[in-house]
Amino acid sequence: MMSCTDVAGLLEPFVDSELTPATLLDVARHAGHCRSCEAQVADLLGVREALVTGSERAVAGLDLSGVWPHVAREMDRVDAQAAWRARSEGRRVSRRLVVWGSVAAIAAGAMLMMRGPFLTTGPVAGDGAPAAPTRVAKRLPNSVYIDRLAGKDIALRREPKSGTTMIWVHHEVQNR
Amino acid sequence: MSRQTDQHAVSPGDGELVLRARQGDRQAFRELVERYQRKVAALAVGMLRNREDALDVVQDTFTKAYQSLDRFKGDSSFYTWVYRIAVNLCIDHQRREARYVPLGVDADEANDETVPVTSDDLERNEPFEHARSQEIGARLANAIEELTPDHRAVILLREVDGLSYEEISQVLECPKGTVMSRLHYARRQLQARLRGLR
Repeated sequence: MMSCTDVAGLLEPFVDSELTPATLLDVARHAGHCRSCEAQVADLLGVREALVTGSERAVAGLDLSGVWPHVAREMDRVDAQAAWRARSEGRRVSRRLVVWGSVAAIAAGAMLMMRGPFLTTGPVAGDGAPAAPTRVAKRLPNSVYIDRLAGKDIALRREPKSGTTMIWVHHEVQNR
Repeated sequence: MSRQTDQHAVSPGDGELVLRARQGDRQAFRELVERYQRKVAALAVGMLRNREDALDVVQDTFTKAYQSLDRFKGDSSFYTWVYRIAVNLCIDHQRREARYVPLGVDADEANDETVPVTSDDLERNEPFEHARSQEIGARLANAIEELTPDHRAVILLREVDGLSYEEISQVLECPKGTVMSRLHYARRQLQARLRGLR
């Protein structure tokens, strides 16, 4: 049989039914023969009884009939908020689509404009009529652009060491 | 002996009601509210020692439960989850208000010194018993008020609601060992207050 020392730490789990059936029986057997441990069990159960009684009295006078109507009203509010959030999320998505669509259209337009000067026409068709232009962008070397600019009122000189291109402008032209 | 903890065992009814409530069935949620409102109220009155505040917490608990229903994973039982919401709301309320009304369940009742002896008591010739139980109630109230919210929650969940250590640890989100040590401390405090009356 268990001693008081063995049982000391088990009395609370005993009244809470938190022991294995075998240990529960051992503690019960000991408490049945030991006045001190039996009194401790009675003390623990007394506290429980007092708490349960106090709680029952407290809740007995409590009118809970208003709980559901209140909760139902709150549920309406929660649902309305959720619906509003869903709607505004939908609006946000469509606004985002419009904005990104516009950006994409602008970008596409800008690209077409930039590609324009580099378009080349395709070969002439056999009957002499020009063939439909092929939309192939052709990037020309930088020297071509420099040559196009040079020879008028300005002159371009390239520094061989640094690779920098200098633009020389005629004095008269500058004062015009 | 301890009250049955299996009265709270996961009821298939709860799971089904939660599922239906999630799909928009209000009647299902109403059933859940009506099933647990009294238990939540008992916990809230015990924690807050004030009926009005307790009623507010009961309403807020179920409103919050409805709001978070989609987040309820079902790895714990519905009532454990609801208790967790209620305990957190009680603790928040106590922190916010920091006002404690003496027990007696209600301020009015607590201040009413002339406790009426009912005809029932007289018929059973138990006026002394009645006075004794009033004294126990008053002492218990003082002892509960002196406990921290965590200790108060543990003792109420165990003694009034009959939750197991495991369930309490789920509600309070703390280890089982902490539940046991808090319970031991709270019991010692209450026993010390009641000594000599029983």
